[in-house]
Amino acid sequence: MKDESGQIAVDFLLGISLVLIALSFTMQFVPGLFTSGSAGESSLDYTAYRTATILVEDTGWWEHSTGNGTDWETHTSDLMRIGLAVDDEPGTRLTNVPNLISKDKIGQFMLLDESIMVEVLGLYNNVDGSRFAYGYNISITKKGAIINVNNTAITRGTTVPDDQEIAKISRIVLIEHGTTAVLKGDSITSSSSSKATVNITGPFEENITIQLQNLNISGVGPAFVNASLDGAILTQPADMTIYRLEGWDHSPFSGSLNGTDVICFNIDNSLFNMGTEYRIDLEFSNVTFNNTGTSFVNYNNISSPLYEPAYLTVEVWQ
Amino acid sequence: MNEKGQLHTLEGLAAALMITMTVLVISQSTMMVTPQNELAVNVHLEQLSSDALAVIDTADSGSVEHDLTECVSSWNMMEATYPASSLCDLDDELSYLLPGVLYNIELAYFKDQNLNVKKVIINGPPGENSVVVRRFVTITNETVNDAGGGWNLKEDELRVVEVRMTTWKV
Repeated sequence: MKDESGQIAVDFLLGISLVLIALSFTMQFVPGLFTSGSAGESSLDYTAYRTATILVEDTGWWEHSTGNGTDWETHTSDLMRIGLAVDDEPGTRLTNVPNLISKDKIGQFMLLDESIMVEVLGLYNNVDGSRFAYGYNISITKKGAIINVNNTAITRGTTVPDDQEIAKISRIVLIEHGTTAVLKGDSITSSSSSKATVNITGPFEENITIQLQNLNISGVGPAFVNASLDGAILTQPADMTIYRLEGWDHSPFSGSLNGTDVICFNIDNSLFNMGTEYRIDLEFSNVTFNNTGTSFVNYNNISSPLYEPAYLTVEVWQ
Repeated sequence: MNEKGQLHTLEGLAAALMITMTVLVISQSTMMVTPQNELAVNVHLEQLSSDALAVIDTADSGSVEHDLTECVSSWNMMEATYPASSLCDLDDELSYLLPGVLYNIELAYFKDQNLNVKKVIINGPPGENSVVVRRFVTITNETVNDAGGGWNLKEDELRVVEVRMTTWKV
């Protein structure tokens, strides 16, 4: 007897053909269902990461036939690279400070032409030889709100869409916010044993901050009494604000203090609009200043930029 | 003549084809993106953590109450016991910069040819996908005296301390 098993069954053939037809139909007619998602999205991730890193850690670079340097903010026509990190020596490439953002560079960054931005930061994708610019948003925020530098809100690009895959990277940066002078213990000069005195030469673009640390407590219930500018008493909050520095936080200062407090006087810059020397007296009770005399420390000689932490966020989408 | 086995060969071919197709479809589809996104989350966390240490280290005393060197110098040499931290200033400054992120801090340094690793901030056991970042500070007798710490260094001694931070998200 001839064994006839082993021949293909017609219903099996029908079944597999149907499956294959259905499968190929689905693959062909539902676009994007089986298309590769990994390539496009991860390149967005790379773009966001790269952009944030360049902005935060690099100083930028300009170059033409006779010169080069990192101070691109003053040579925007020869711009090669955008970076926001502070650099004290624009001629070298080794003196940048990552995470420390320069105010001048930020200012110029906000003025740059859109097409130059996209080109220099590489915020585009090449598809079949033609160039598509990514949507992007670069903002510097503090406590969720976009911060202002020189009265400009620091945000570039467009509003982030809700309905799209977005690659997002945040970096913590320090951003320049006026100047400060730190006076500690015996380095505080004073006009009397209860008054700390500082000379200040105007004018200033931003508010100034005087910080007092390691105060010498000499009685019970030490407290701040008042501040005066050339003899006129300053009022809060119109002329100045006073706070205690706790970590990064500015906590309210009620007047009474203790020896470990860092007291900051943030004084309005409009009070110093002439190019002359002003004198600030800070009067305390039950605090003794030992460095009493007639020559006082000058704010302008000891001040340094005041930095505050903020988040630089780069978001990129197709 | 035994002709059994023919259909099995064809079935085998069909099965192989289907397995290949399945693997191909899965590997090309969006489902594979998930682990990569997780990787991106880790990179993001690591970047933020390393920024937080860098920012505390870079800021000078006008901008922050105590910078990283001052914080480390002020350590009283006592290890932390959960949940208390023995470097409160650093703890406050980090939690300000890293909202929603938990972290443990260890200090590692060489003393008398021995490597010491001491826990100074403990927020619990690190979760999955934790990342470790580190930053080195150099402390001297002067910085220790200014900050009131208990390092007990010699007058001309330099000590390099590794600040090791393990961070994770909950």
